[in-house]
Amino acid sequence: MQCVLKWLKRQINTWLLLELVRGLALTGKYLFKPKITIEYPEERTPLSPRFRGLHALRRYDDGEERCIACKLCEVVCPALAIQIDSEEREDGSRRTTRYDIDTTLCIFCGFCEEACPVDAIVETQIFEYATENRQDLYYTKDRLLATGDKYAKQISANLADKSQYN
Amino acid sequence: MSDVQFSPQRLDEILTLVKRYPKAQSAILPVLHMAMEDFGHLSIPTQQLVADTLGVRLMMVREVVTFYTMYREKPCGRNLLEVCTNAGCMLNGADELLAKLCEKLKIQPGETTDDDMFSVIEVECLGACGGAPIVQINGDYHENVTEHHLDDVIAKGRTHDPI
Amino acid sequence: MTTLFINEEEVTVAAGTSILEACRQSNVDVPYFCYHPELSVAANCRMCLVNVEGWPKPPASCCTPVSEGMKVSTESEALVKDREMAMEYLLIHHPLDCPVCDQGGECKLQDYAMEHGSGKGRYLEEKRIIKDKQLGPFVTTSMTRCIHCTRCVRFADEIAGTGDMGVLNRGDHMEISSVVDECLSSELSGNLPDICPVGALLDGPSHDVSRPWEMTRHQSTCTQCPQGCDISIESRGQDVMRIQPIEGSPEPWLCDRGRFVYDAFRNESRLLKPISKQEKVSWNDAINDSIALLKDKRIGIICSPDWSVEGLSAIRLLRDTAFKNAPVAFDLHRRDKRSFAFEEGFSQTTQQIEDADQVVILGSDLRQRLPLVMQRIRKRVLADKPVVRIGSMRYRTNSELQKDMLIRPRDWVSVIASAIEQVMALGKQAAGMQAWLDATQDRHEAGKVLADALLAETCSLLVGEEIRCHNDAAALIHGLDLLMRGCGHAEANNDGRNLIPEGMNAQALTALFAKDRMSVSDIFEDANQGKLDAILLIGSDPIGDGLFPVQAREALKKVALIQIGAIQGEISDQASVLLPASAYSEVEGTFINMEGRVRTAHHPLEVLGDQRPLWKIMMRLLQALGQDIPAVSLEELRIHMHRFIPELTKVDDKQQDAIFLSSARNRKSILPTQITLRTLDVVSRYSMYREGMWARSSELLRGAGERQKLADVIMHPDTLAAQAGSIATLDTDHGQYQFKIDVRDDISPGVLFISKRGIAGDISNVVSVDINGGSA
Repeated sequence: MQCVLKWLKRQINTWLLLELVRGLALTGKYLFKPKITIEYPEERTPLSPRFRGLHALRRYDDGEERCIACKLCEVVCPALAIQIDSEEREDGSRRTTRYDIDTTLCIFCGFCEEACPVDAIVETQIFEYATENRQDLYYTKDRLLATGDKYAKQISANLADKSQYN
Repeated sequence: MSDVQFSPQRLDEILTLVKRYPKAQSAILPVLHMAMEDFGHLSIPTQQLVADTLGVRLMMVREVVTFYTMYREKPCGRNLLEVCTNAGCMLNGADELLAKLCEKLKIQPGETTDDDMFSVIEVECLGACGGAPIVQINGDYHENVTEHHLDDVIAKGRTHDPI
Repeated sequence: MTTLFINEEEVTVAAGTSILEACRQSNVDVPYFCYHPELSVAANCRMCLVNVEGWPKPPASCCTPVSEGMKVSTESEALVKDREMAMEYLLIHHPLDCPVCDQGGECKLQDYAMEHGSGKGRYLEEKRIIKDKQLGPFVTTSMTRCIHCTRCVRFADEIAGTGDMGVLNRGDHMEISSVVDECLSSELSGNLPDICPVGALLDGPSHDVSRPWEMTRHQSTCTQCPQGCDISIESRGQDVMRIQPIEGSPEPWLCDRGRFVYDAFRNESRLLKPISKQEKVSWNDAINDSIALLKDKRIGIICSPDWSVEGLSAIRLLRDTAFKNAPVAFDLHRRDKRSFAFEEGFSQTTQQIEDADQVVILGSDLRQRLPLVMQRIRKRVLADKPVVRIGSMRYRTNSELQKDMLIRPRDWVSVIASAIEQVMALGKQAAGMQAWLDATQDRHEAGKVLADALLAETCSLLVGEEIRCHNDAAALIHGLDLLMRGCGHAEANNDGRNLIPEGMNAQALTALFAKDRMSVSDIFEDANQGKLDAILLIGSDPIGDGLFPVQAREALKKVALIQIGAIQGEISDQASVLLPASAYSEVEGTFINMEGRVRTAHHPLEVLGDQRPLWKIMMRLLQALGQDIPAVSLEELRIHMHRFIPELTKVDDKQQDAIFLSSARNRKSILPTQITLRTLDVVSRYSMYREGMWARSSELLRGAGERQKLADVIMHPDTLAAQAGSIATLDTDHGQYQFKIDVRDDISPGVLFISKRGIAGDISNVVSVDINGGSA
């Protein structure tokens, strides 16, 4: 008896195309709902101030670079992506002569940013830095500072925003 | 050596003094007092003289001289004002008092006025915290000193009156 | 011995030990800043407070001696609070600049602030700033960070013995100061950054460059002087950052030479590729070129003592297999090739020298030659133990010697003769004394000083280069040995016969090459006379360091030079082939210091360029010469090494300090001979900043040497009525020399002091002197 009922149910489902109707109904429902996808290059989703994108080195307002070559980011980096050389500058302050981040190694964990005692290294909201060759993914001090200069305002705003979570 | 020398009588006195101690080093304090008496203040050549007389390193003498405020490395004016700025006095406004005093005399702590009338020194506890703030003026303790009191002292000092 | 309880554990220590030292010995952690085992106790940091049962207040453990049955506890709630408060005081004026401070990562203050400090500071007032000090070329200061532990003050006073440091002012205004800037011109100044527990005194050369956690540490042996200190070479990638002493090694300090020579490890004078006829070539070509010069030729071998014993054994294998009768020289300064009554090396440890009843320094500037032995001597002087010195110059010391006799080098015979005479007068005899005495005529008053010292229960002779490099050295040393024996210092393990060697591995070199040893001068003489075809120079620089540069230059015009080495010296321009070998810091191997102490380096620095270990080069040469190779691995080579020096078989890493190699002895009687006396005795001294290829290539050492150097030529005012600034014209066998002379009265009359040893060797046979008055 049970067996016959099951068979009957399947026949009805099959011949009346009930599953198709149900599926189309769902599709139809979303046709009229507001869209959540965006047209990416032209449109963008909002990013959290805590987003961890491409790195940048910051400067003070007077143009002095912030990094003091303490090498805490280098030592905390779990992917060994950061390389720093330092030297005493002519004015007696401790500065880097090399600050390289290999973004092919970087896992964007944000530890460097957290380790930095002077907020020099930060991760910006930039995530579109695809390049045509691997060499360009090796970021030197100059390039990191350039990124920092270019997005200085946005970075400071993000840092201010972020401070509420500390 | 330098021009600074003890007189023969003084040297005798120092010699007798040194004999009282197990080590010559122990006589640094009294010998420095003698040197102060003889030379007025303890310049580096004077300190070197004391060091050589007692056979110790110059730095040992300098350590003692700079530790105790009653030894003075620089000549001071006619009137010496020593302001205590330790805890008790500080809580009762010694820092402000010292600042005011310096402002009135137009000098910094440790300096002497151009007319050689006043010297101001910042000193450690004088042991009279009950009357804080305290200023030692030419050896006398003046307790509960106020700005008004200082004006008075300066006026008297300028007219060569005893303070 | 005193028994006490530390944290309820029973501990037994020597009576009079401080509680802190007892805790350290039993591995109980007590925090401290100002205490240092090698310095006096100041007790001014107040970090080492501990509880003692029954005592009302916690005492500072560094200055409280232990007593029987004392119950000490190092952990309690009250102590946690005390330490927190002590830390708060220490941190009041300490800047929060750990990220830019080089000490960060190896800083006691940082560690203790984490461990014992409170999370928050309550001090809101202004912090003070202190001006930085100048403390010599190797120390960078940042005095604002100072916590006034006064370790540096005590170091300058007790250890360095130079400069005058102290603490000025009091309370808030307290600061470390020195009477004059640049006060610390000590040969141990590099230790200051090590003893500073915070970042106030920092290592100058590596300032702001690296971090302690980036370092790879390579345990090695310093071969810059015969002392052979244990060192830890700290490298970062390819770069060498610093050299540090190893805690718990026999010498607590490290001299500036050993510490800052690393500057030369990575500079352009390193030999990184084989060079043949001034051009870089491949190893194969270089070996072929060498073989062309060596095969079936008569060669002389000159080697440096710096190589590991394995390397030296390989040289011996090369010689034994391919060049059977080749003469070998390994000491650039020794003139006398006869074997000495006691050969190079110490029979005592430095500790035994410190403890001896008497110490006699014979003809050595010990402070430059062996700074750490001089340190032991200073400890003796501070403990009122006698030290006397006989020599041709009163070299600057950092402590007052009981007696300091000036003699001319020619007087050594008469000094020893006079001492023998006096000892014999007291009825002390040794076979051969009379014969020795009969061979001499003159007597010198300094003999009394020597004789008096020898009469002590234990006497330690430190025989320096004035005797070792004397033309008649074997006779002098035999005389000294007779004296020792006569005074009852029988030959035994700790018998006080210490001959200061030129370099490391003295005992091994004697064991390996003593039979065939020649003086370097003889080898060059042979070359000049056409008895040799080639010279195989392994690691030394007879032109830059040797006594006979003129002779060397002439010889090298006639014979080919094959140089094997880690670094190029002044001689390298003359070499036909240069083969790069790994330096002492870059090889696994055994090293023996002057005391005979054996050390094995296991974890060397990375090899640079095309360098190969010396033993591999030797084996390669043998192969190319068509011989069988005696060893293909270090293990096989060590079998040969053990055959040459059987004592080394007993060496085991775990009991490193248990085995000491003794120096060779010779009981044959050697009597003094008459030596043609020249107008003046020429004397020179070893300078730790200038001698050796490594030191000469190190910018750092060169800079420091400039500050410490003596005038080039010095005479006593009584010698030929010399005046400062006059010009001396010397006629010698090597031609005429002209010098501007300086005059000092701490040099013996009749002696001409030349600061460069090479020049001194060249002109050592002064025929006549003409001094032209007037100032130029």
